[in-house]
Amino acid sequence: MVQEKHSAVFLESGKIYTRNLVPGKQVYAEQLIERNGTEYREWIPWRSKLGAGLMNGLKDFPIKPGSRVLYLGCAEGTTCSHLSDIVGMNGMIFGVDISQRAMRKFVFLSEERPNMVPFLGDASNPETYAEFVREVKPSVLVQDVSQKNQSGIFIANARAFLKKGDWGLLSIKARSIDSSANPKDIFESEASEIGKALSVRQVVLLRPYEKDHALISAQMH
Amino acid sequence: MGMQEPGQQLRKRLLDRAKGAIREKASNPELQAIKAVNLFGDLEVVFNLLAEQAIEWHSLHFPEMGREVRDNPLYLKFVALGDKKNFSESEILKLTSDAGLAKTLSQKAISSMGAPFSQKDMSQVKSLAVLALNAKQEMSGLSSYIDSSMKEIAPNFSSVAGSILGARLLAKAGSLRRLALMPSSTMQILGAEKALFRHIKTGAKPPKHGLILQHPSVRKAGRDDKGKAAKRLAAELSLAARKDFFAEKKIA
Repeated sequence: MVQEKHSAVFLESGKIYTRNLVPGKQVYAEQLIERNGTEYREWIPWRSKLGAGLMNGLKDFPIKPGSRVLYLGCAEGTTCSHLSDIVGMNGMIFGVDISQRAMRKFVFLSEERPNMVPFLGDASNPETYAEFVREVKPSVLVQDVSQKNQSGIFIANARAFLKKGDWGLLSIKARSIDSSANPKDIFESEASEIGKALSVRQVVLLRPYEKDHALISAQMH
Repeated sequence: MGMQEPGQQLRKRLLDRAKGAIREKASNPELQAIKAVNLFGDLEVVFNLLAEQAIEWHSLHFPEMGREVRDNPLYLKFVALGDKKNFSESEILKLTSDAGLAKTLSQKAISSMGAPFSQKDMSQVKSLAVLALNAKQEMSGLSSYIDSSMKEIAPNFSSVAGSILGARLLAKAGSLRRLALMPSSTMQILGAEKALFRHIKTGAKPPKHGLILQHPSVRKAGRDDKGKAAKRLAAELSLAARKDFFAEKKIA
């Protein structure tokens, strides 16, 4: 039987699920299951770093029904589709990605899901989407961009759009920052970099789902 | 703001905007050249696979031909002749101007140690050879397409690199902008990422050249000069790419 874990994330026999916002529609290779007349989508941690973070013990999961989320590096929208399930019709996912190839799929997804908004642009230039994001007033920032200055991008966006107490989740790919250094050292130095602007709450390693990746959760102070 | 009216208005506006932005990015002619050169590389592999199989199969029937014909496309045309009984001097001369070869082949066909093929066997081999030759023909059309695209996109860069190599470098970098902005030392080892990271991680010797090795000036350089030739060509390519990206005027 499906049981609630975080506010709208469900757990059954070691797998996590979200309630399908568009019943009958599959987004990637996930399984759809039905329990008591409600359809759930399996959240595959091998395909989603946020999913991997949840599996590996992320304590505070700030995305809840009604949340408005700024998602940088949304790619094709695999993770965003689950966030869209979670926030439901009163919330919103504002997805930014620089690749037109990936954004194509994200646009298809946004057409199916009325709480998703696409933006083709560069997360390192927040001013290009600032006017729209200010209308959305997000309370959560999620970032997964595999760029060398990912902490800088994260801080700039957090400062531009988040208020005191709001949450940020940042996926760090150690190999994007330095291909030869020890990943643990990188996670530490990135966390202390983030700590200059936000309060770091947790650093979750994403093994075995992702190699040399970590998820940092932090809160605006 | 939830997904009520104002939110939906913003969403519709941004959906249209995203579609327009995708259309604009996808309209870049560089993308056409990149798709074409990627296909060119795949066709090269496909042709070699098909040619190898067709030649290998036909050699059961006429093994002597392999020692006489080294050129794969020509060999395939002979395979399309089918049974070795068809290898008369006059038939062979329709496919090559080499009279000596025609004479040798026609004689070897008579005394061949190859197995007889039924019509059923032979028609399979022949259609395989035709398929391989079609791939080759597709490549030559594609090559002139890439040539003319590259001359428009980056005239200076492609005249230094050559159109196919130029397009391959463009595909690797992703855009002319990135080619123009990258250091020439990066240009030099574009396509040798595996060796580069091996160098960074383990301290093994750094790569001297990447895709650039396909350029005659590097390939023909002696062993001790290859690195120097690659460095020099990379410097020239960087200048040319910058001229193309920033000035759009032909100088090379």
